[in-house]
Amino acid sequence: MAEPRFLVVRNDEEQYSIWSADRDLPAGWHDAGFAGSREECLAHVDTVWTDMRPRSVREANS
Amino acid sequence: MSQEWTFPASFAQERVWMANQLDPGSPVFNVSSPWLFPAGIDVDAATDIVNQVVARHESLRTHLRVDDGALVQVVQAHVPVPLPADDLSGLPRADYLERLAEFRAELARTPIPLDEPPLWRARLVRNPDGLVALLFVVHHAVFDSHSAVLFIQEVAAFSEAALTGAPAAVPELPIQYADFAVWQRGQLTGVELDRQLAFWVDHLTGAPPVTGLPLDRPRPAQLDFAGDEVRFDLPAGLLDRVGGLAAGASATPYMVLLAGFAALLSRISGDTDVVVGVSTAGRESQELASLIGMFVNPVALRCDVSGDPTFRELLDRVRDGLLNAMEHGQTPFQEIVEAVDPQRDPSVQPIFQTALNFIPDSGLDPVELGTTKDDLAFDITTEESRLVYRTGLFDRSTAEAIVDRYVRLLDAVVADPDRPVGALPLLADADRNRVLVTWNDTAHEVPPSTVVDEVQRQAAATPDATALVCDGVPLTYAELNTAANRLARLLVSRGAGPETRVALALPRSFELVVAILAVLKSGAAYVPVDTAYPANRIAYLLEDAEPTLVVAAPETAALVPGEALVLDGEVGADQSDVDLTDADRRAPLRPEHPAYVLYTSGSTGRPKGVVVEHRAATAYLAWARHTYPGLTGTALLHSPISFDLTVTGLLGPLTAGGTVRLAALDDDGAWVGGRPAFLKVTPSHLPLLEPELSPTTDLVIGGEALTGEQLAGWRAAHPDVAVINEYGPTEATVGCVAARIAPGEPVVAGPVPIGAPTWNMRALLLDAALQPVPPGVVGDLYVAGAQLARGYHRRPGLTAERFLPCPYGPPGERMYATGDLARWRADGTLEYLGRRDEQVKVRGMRIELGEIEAALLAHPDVRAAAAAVRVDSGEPVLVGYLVGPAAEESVRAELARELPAHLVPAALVRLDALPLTPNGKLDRAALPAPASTAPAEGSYLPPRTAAEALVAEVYAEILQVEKVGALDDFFALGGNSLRGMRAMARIRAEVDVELPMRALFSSPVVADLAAQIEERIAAELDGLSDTEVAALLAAEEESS
Repeated sequence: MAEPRFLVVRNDEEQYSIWSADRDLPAGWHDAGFAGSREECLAHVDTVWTDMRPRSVREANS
Repeated sequence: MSQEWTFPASFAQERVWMANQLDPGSPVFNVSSPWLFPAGIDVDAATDIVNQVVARHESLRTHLRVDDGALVQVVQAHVPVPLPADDLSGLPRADYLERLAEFRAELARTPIPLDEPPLWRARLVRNPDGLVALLFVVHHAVFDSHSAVLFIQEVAAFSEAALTGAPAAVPELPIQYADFAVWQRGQLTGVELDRQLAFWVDHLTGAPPVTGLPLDRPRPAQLDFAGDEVRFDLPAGLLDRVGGLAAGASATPYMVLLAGFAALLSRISGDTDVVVGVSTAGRESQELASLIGMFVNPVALRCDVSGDPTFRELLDRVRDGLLNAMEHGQTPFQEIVEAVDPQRDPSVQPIFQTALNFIPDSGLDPVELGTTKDDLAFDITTEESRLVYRTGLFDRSTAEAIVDRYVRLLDAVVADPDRPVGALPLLADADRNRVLVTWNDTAHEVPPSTVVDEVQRQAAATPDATALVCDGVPLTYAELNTAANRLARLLVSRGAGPETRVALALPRSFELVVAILAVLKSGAAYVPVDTAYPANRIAYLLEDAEPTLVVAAPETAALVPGEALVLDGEVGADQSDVDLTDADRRAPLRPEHPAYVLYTSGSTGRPKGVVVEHRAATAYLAWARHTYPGLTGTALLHSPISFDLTVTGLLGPLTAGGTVRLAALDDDGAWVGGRPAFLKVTPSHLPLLEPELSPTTDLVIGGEALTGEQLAGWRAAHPDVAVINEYGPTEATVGCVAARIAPGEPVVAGPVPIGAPTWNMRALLLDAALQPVPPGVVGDLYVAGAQLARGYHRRPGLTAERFLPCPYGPPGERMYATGDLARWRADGTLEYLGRRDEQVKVRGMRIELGEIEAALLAHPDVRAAAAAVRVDSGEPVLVGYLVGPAAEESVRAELARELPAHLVPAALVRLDALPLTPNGKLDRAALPAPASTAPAEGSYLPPRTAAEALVAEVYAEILQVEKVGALDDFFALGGNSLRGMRAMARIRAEVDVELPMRALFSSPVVADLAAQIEERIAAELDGLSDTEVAALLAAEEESS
């Protein structure tokens, strides 16, 4: 059996998550351009999601 | 007495006989085969016709008997018998039909003893048209569904012959059933049997021993046949479409129905390895085709539903699996059970618990027997179909919901077989709307704000009210607020501000509460550091949290590695005591900024900091103030602030005008000022709760699963207080689902529901495919809405893993995967069913610790209880812990009565009190190992009574064991049910007492079985007159 594939996804607040590649992505979420096993996707999130403040908070602060 | 011949019983007869022993008084094996004779056949002719069929088939003249420990079939010579007949031809049609239904039901529901010939019952009825109807009911031990077809064919043929005078068109019978049985016994033996068993052992190794289907009730300790059925019609044309899909996939319609059933079971249970029972006709050779008799052999079909296959892929797997299984369909099922040796458990049917039959041509029996063999079994026909279910496990509403879902699933797969199983719709639109919308209708206007705004609003409104009491000393809102303002200004000057953190290493004190408010006012998030924690844990936490500042008290400063701001009474004294504005802060404070970071331990990995924003905290507090009127009074704050349960009792009163009394439950200070209005505890605190500390308005219970048994004692003493069961992970801010038990409302035993989502929160119960599960079905609990935390501090990967895109909310919303299991009750409240990752198993059986704890607590002399699975000796062992004076033997007896065998702890440990964590939860890690989980090797206890000696002797002989003691277990010594049958026959022969087979399954230990025998002898003696007893004893004397 093939290992299930996941996507790294992101919403408009630039919060990251992962999603099964076979499933329709819920509204308001976008493919962040990385696919792989669950572990690979989570490791990728660890490298790209460096500022965990929601975008609206980040922009209001700057 | 007529002439008779004995032959070995067939494997199928043996299996039916054994199953029948579980409850010989049940009609579960009755098969009905009704028939209406054509015009011109009167009662005498009909009697003659039935007798001709009986004369042709030895099976209809066969009964079963145990001869010398072996089951034999006894065939009697044919002697024509009269049939009871009733003339109902004079009745109006409606009355006739009513009487006929009564006759039919009575005949069908009367058990047929297997040891008294014949094993069938017949009754003739003349109907208002003058025709003769035959009611015929026969025991499954000598009859199967193909036999029913043959029986009707022969009755029809003899009727035709009687009318025309021609010879009956019935096939010659070259052999009889007993010939088959003898041949089968010779055939399925030795190497051939071993070869077949090897296939099955291989096929079934690793299969789940019991289905993971969610049950409405725990399994009763002993399996029985009590059942019911839901009858339904498949939608018009569905079976045709099933046939169409089958034809295009080189499969049979049955395979499509089976694959659909496997998909349904997998979706409902979450199991990806599903075992379903199917029947083989068992009539491979031509000579058997025309024989009435019991040939059917069940076969276990193991379906691999892993990897979320499309339905078409699953159908391929089921087809291949079924063909493979059918090739080995002759292996006697009983032998497979013994060879595979699944966990012996009298509460579970071995190997498979669900079944599906496709009987397109034969309709269902009109009489519902109120029995079942399986937990769930579908009988699908072209006319009416049914789902038969075990009433000990399922409610009718659950069975109906299963039927609905099965039909919906079949409808969907025939329309689009390329959909993944995980995406198949199981819910009706109305149900879907109910669970997603109606039961989550929590919208409530709560303007976004910060905790700071809320507390300052209260301080301005009631400056002179008492905000805080510590050691009997009060502090007003104005005093608290100004003290916090001074410290906040100092913190700002030291770098604290929005999106930074300040760690608080402070004991329970005024300073702690002042510091919390000061940190919030500065705009930073507070990070509580429990000063009772080990140094390593404190060091880890301070490193991980990256605080801008650490605040400590003089006595705790040494616990903090590095520099700390020590509150010595002088600190901040020179600062202004006016409320801070954004102009005073390093950046404006918004509701989206974090208010606190709480560290929680997962079951795996290092503690992680949950970042909770002001908006989430104020959302929760708004709901809490509305729900807990006691927050305007005094709240006793006793647990550490590192535990988010404490947020309610601290920030709740301070935003509601109430008073916080700081004291541990065992502090004298806790009592000063009388009973509090509000108290929040964990269930483990309940036995410690003194009457003087019990709240007058609201008792909120959170942090752990709560049962009615745990609550009963406190509730009985305080019927006038509202009890709220609050559920919520830290990641969804304190409490996000809650159930209120109003004053006076009764508390029922079993799990207390956790209720409904709080304001602006939604609870989603989803299956593995993230599809909503129907009411009553166990699902993974996800929560979404206003109280969701931002995530885990500095853990983006972990945050992404647990905070997922929500398919059922506004665009871009996240939902938190709680890792908890729950189900919707019919009233729209949630029932908590434990952690998914704490689903413990012992020898493959799923263990519900809560159920064992509830059973322990049900004992009147048990005050507190816990259960745990321990692996001290390598093998997992179930251990029960109890507090109270209850005698171990009486507890053990109680558990054995209440729980299935696999849930009865192997060891009981008595404790003075249950160990608790600092947060007041049960400290599972601190539960001690039992002294010994089983009688040590070699602890041989010689039989103590005559009955024990007898049982021990029989065990020793049947099992070829040298020495059997009073505490030895039949099955542990290597017994199986076939040997059990022999053992019971031997015992019955020795003591001449009615001892059913089930006695051995429920009491396999020598001493227990001996006690049962003595009980039964005593009961029989009770039924005798004194003279009879004297005569009996005299006879004993003579024979000895």
